[in-house]
Amino acid sequence: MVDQILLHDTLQKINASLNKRFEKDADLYISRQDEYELKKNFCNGAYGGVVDLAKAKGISHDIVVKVLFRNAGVIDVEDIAKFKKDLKPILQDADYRTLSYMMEDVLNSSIYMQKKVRHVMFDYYMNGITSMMRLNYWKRDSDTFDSEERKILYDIILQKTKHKDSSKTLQFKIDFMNDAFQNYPNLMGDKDAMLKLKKTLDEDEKDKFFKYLCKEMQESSIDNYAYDFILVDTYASYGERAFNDAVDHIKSSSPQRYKQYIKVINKLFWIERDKVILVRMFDTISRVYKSDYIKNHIKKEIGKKIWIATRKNNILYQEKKSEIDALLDEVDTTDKEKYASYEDVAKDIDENINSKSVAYFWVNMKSPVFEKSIEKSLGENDMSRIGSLRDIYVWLFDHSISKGGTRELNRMCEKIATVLYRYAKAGGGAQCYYLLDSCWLENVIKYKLRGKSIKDYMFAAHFDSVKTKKWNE
Amino acid sequence: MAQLYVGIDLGTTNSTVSVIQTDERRLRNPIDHLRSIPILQYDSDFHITRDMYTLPSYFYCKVDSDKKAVYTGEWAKNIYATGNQPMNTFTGVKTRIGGESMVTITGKNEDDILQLDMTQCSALLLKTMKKSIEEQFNQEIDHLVVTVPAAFNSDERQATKDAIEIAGFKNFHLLDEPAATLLYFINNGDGSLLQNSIELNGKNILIYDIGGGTLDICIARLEEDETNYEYASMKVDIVSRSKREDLGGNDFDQYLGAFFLGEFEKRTTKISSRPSVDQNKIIARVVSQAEKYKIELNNKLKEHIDNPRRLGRVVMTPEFEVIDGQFVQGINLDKATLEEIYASLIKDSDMRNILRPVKESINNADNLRKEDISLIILTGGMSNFYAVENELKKYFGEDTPIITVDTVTSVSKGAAIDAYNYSPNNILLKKMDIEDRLAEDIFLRTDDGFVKLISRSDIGTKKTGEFTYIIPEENMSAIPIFLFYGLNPNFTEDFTQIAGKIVDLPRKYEVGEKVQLKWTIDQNGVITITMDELGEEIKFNHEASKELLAKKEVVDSLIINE
Repeated sequence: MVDQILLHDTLQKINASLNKRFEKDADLYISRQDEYELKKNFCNGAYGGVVDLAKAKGISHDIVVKVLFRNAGVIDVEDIAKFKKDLKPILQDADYRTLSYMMEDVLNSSIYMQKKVRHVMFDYYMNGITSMMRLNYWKRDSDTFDSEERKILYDIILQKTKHKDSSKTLQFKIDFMNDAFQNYPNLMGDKDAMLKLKKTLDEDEKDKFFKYLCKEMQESSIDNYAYDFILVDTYASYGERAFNDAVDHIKSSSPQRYKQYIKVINKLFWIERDKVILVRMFDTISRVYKSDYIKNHIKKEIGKKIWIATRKNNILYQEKKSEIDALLDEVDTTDKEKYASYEDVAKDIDENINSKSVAYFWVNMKSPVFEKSIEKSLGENDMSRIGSLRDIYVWLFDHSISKGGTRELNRMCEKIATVLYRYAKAGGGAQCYYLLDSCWLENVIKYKLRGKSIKDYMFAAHFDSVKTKKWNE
Repeated sequence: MAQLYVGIDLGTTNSTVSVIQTDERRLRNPIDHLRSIPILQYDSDFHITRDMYTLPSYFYCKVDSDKKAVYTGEWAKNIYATGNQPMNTFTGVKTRIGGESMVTITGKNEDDILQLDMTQCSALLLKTMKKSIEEQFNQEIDHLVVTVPAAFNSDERQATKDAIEIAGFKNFHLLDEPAATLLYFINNGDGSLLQNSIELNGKNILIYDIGGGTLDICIARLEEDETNYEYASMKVDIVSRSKREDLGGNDFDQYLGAFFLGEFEKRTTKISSRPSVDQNKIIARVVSQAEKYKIELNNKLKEHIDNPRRLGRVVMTPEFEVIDGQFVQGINLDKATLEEIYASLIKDSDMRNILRPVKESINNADNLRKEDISLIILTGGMSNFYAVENELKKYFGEDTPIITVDTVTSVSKGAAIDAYNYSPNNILLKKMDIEDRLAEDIFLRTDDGFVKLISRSDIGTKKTGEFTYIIPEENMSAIPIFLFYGLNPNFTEDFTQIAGKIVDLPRKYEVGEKVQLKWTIDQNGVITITMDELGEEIKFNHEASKELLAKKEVVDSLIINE
């Protein structure tokens, strides 16, 4: 009798020996049957089964990763979190050096790999290689990686790269970051893109980095809205130190970029939780606000931006309730009570007050006076006013966005939808109705707003428009 | 001026060359000019021989700082079998072509390295054959046909084409091995058609081609083409064909070798305790000896196949040195033992075996039962093995005729006929008008899964088609085009990648935009994809000419069989 178990065991040995001869790396040899079993588990999302099979059959983790690469084209990962979690012991343990050529095949696009899997593998692989290799990867053609991979690489380089002369590490990182932002502006879409650099620094470097940020606040090396945003966030992360620096700047006789500094102060009132620091900062800024030497436009900007933030900070508000309320009342009076009816709006139009300002005060009118004034404007016949209203309507929406983002815009579009619907039902047809309706529609579609009144009016007035279909998808 | 048409069967274990040399002054039937030619090589005793009609697909490389030499053929096979040069000898190139496999041979100094991929190795075999053709015919080849397994995918076909180019051949095309056998058969190349008075018209024929490394099944329906008055032609409708099956003589050798090795280890020690060079040496020896004993025992068994009493008495006692004076001995090898060893290869089951592709091919054909098969043509070296015919008879019944067609040279002869037929002026031999089909469907991978691009049954009539790729993301400047063979997208573990790459688009595309792709399958079975907006063919399985040239330079620098 032929011992079938012995026969097949010996056969595997022969197969392995013959096939290894043709492997680029003989240590990564796997039998066809074992590869098929692993592939089947990968294809069925049984990642735990992959780990168990590797353990049961003594298949090295390098080989499992190689099988994953080699069969990536047929593997559809639905639950990437499960993939990462279950395969973590294998991915962490596998030696990236033996698999470098397979990652190259993915990067050179001769292996198909689902993007989400590719990103996981890329992250794992890039963590394993040397700093020099990572920098070489960074320099590759801009199309080699997608934005997600570029971001992964950026993060890892910032975290792990050190200059051989440690005193130059900070400058290296700053130069790298600036170069990255200039060549790949999308990186700045990550609000922590600059903060990540700070997190890699020791105390001494953090101090030097603050000085660098102070210079950047005065004169940015990158002209980009997103850069201003992440710069403010990073600068503000220095807390009271940044606050004092910002206050010094807005107090100066000819403050440059004061809005940036006010944003920093605003941000600090939103994020600071230490009562003592909050009170100290509040006392300082309210003293500055009330002082005579501060410029009016700066005062106005503080009024617009800071007091709301102080009101929203519960720790501070409990301590300084009466002062904050008084400051807010002062702002409310200036901002919200300028117009009482459409006639006030028309008067400013007749006096050639610029459209942006008219819209600003108009948008701050309270309900239902606002709705009534809007409705009244729809029946406007005076051609010179209609010309101005065209711009003012546009600004109404823009101001809402700046005031409170899409939530505020949605609220205003709801109000206007009620007015437009009522007006349309009553016959509509006026020129201003079409002007306002067109601005309203553009914003509703652009921001995909879906309030109840918005929907009602949308289906009543625009149900068959191509744009509506896009909004409705 | 005489014309020279050449057919090459580039086999896993053996290759052959056949030719048709015609001369306008001689009016004999071209089939009378069809012959296989000897291939110049060293015999097992290292003497140059001009008498061998097969070139064993074995390699023995000698690498030193002065020269890099490669021996192909019988002597290389002999050195391989001794196991004395385990790191300088190898075989089994064909089943690995088109993939990432490569061999590395080092000389005495670490810097003396020769690295060859499977395309280059195939080119070395082809160069050996080219040299023989040039020596025997002092003229240009008018057309060459090289055969490949029908189940070879686009990458494997392209790699074979590259190998032919590297070897220096011009004017060639590829032909599927079963088609070559059929062409040889319908032209009555070996006379079996006439001898057996076989009528082919309207019949379903199963071609069973089992070579050293691959098993190809092809079921064809033949009809006389009466619409063509210029020359005789048969319409061949490929009703079904098997998926790629890497099963051949080598597997039988490895099974028997495993048996020998298992018995050896029972008496001595496990070879895993030895250095890897020794292990390779042992395995080369036992597998080569297994091949030898397999052939000898099979010949003896076939002698008495109709006489059960005598058959029962056939027994061999293999004896050979494995290593260091230790032998395989004391084993009685008879029919029963052999069938136990080969049980999983020859017994009917769902596992890989010699019958499974036959059953699958019949199941995959539309409205075809095994009773509808009128004739089985057996070919390929391993079809000589008695169990192959036995199992087929068991499955189809005694009434279905089985004809074995020249197992050594029928494929290359069929290829030579196809090379002859390639010229529209050559009308004396029967031609085939093949309506082909694929073994599996071809799918395109998208980010959402697999989309069927080419249906396996369409391919006979449809050589081109279109596919609309809908852009799934904003600002896409490249799209993945990866092709896979497969049957059911719910079982992607059975899918295999054919070819693919990420293709750069001429501009950035928005979500929902449509990109029109066109696919084509050429005469060689190579798939190409084109995109109008790109203005050029997407060459994803074609080596860049620079890379091909670099590979050719390496091959050309090697001294072959000198």
